[in-house]
Amino acid sequence: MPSKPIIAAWPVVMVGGFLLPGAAHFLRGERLRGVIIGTTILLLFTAGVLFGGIRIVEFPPSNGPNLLARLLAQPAFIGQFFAGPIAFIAGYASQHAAANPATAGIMSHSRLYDLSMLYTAIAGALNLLAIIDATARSFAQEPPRDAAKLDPPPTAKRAA
Amino acid sequence: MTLALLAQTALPYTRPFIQPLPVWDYWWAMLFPLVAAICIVYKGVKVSHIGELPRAAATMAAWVILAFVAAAVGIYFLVKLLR
Repeated sequence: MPSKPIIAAWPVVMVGGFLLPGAAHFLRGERLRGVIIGTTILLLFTAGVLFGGIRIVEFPPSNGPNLLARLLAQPAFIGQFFAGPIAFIAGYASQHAAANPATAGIMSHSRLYDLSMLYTAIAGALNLLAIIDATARSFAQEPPRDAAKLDPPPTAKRAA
Repeated sequence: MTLALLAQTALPYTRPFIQPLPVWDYWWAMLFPLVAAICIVYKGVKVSHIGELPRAAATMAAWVILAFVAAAVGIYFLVKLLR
């Protein structure tokens, strides 16, 4: 008889999913699902930075009338933010590249810039989708889907 | 500005993740990995058993790309008609 997977509580699932894409499902006991989702999101974000260069990830400006106005000045970061710490690492690397005279002028333009930024923002949006799904299922105390398929239904157990 | 752009595009690609990848002539091909990733994660969240994922994601990706092609053809003929 397979042992029951240890399922984390919903706040742990939510925070875990933000800290590492795919961890939300992994912590729910849906391990393969978590690995596939996480790897895809991280690859998408990395591909965006590879295609467009690190400067496509930019923090919102620090000066502005309010937080909303600052966020709207750099709206792609709203999506990128949900990719988790990788977005912050990329943001700091981008600031570093912008401050360095040797790399300050290197930036993608037009379609390449737009599509690369879209890659990173969509990676964050997909991670948000995964976090919401796993957290809601944990909150509703649903059993892990893949494990549920492995266990025979209760009627079959009784008949056996 | 134009000179700086020209100089930048003429640089050899030696610094991955700093320099943009020289794929500007093939920007349309960037659609395929993006669609694939969206379909994998979306279906990864939706399917009841993970074994169903490859087929479900491939089917969804094919439909999305078909829809893009149909939209492109439609817009092409619309522009031709309106010109």
